[in-house]
Amino acid sequence: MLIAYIFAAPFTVMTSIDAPDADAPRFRLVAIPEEMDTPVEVRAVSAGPEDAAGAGYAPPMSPFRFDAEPKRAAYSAAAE
Amino acid sequence: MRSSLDLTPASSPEDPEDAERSADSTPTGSQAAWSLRTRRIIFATLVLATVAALGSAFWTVLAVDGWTIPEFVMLGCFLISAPWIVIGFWNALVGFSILRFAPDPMRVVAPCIADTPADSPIDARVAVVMCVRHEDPARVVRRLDAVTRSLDATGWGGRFDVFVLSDSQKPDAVAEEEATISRWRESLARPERVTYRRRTSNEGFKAGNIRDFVLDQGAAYDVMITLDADSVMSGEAILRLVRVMQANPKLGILQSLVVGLPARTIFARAFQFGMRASMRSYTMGAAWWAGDNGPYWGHNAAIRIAAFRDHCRLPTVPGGAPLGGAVLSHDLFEAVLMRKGGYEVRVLPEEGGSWEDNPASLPEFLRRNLRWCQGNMQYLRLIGSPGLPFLGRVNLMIAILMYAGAPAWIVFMVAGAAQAWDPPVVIGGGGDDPFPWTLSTALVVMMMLVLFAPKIMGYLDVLLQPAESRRYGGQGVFAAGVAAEVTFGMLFAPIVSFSVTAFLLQLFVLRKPLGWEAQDRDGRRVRWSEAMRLLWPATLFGVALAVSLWLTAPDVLPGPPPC
Repeated sequence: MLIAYIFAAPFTVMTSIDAPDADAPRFRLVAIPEEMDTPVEVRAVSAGPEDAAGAGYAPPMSPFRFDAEPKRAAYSAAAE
Repeated sequence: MRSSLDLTPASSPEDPEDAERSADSTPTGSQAAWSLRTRRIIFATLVLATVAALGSAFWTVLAVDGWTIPEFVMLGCFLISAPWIVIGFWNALVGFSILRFAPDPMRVVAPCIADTPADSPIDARVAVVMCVRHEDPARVVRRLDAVTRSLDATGWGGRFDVFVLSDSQKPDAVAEEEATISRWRESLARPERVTYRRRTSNEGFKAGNIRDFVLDQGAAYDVMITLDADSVMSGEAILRLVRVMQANPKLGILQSLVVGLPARTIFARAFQFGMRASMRSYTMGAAWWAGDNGPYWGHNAAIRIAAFRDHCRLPTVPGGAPLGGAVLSHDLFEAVLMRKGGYEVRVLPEEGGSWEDNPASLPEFLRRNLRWCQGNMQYLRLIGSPGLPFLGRVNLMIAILMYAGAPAWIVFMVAGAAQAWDPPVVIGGGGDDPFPWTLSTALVVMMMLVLFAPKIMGYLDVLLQPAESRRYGGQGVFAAGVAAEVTFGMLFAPIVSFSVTAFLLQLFVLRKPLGWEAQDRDGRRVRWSEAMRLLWPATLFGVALAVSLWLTAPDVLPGPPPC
């Protein structure tokens, strides 16, 4: 806890940078039209095994680049 | 003028039929009153018993060798901060149990939602309202356009109109706002569905803005969907709220469970990862006992306009500065007033189609948090208002405790450091009882469990569902995310506590309230100079504590002991 106080400023600066996978198209809002293009890069990708089963909401997100590349590739392919 | 379809029943809460029904059940008639009363008694008993048990254990640990002044202070701070933490613990545990073991969780916590058909026609006239003040108009339009297109895709778009309610004052911002929204309207097949209205004075802030809409244009609509400038809702999610409102004429507010929109910065990602996990079980647990006295979070909710107009007129907070004046944290108090007016306030404790932006950096988070803190402190002057339902007062008290725990925690740390200087015993002492190491260790472990329970339960809920874990990239990936978020949280929470404490000192000692300005919603890299300017008091506090402990109890500090 003392570390949190003492290093508050570096913590603030370091966490304000973009996450390593900030540009990855890994977030899908299937119920939102594709035209939506927010500053946080919300993108609609309409296909995918979960979506076919009816799961219609944004997938959870990891703080950092923990998702596997094949999964990301699948999203990209679905987007195309 | 009333709308063509008036969902508000002709009867009022004072009618004998209503009175009889409300004695036996909640206003919608969907839940037995005795059942909710029993749940609340059970929940209160669990909370009070847990606080008493933890307090008793801490008392026992402190009482060894008598009592010093810092020990009294520590016990007092512990008892102030414990209730909020313990409420969170039981909410999470109850919510987790329902999520994992109930065959139909929604039926357990909100039968009126569970009983609503998923495909009933939309008869209501609905206004989608977004309040803006000096926001990026392009972003506002992007989001509203997405919402309207999504609604149109459901086939029910014709029942919905959109209102942009502006409180912007700066001429440049106003001009850009008007031009951008005008262009958007011209691009629509039905431009008349979008109304832009600007107030020349932002009296009453956002709540005043909504109030003016309700009085001026709200009569043409049955329900309004409130959105913030950082909100997005899918058409299906909005339809679900509206269908439940249609099916339950005595439901005044239905709040959706909001999750964070995908974000770019590490701060926002880590924050929303933890927040999403903890809200899932916490909200389900709170809905179990709060029932018809649920929360309203100010946006991403459906509100019955006529009931809101009749019952949710906010008072002016009595007294002078820093708390007097317009109600800032209007949402929760409006929920209390709605329930006082005889209408239920419910939360839909399931994720699905309801999003918001999270602050992109710590400074922005702190600014927002302190605004909320100031607003919640106003409840100190509102909690005794005549006629409020008891559960409403409980909700207001919980909102106050949410912030009261921060200074208690900081003072606790200072008192702990002071205790290390071996102050004189003022009561008791002289005995030779051994220090209860087992009890003190168990107490620390228990406090950690209680404190982190909402997140632990949320993470467990994901880990125990293979399909859900896969959506995160698998259990291993998810566990790594948890580890990262826990580390983040341990660095983040103390800074927030210190910030709240410093602000409360400013508020109550210097009597200097915050302004209520627009948020910076765009992520930007925080400069070192800004971070140092904002956080040097926290750094100084940490260094002072470390020096104090280095002089008195060096063993508790990491690293080699001093020579």
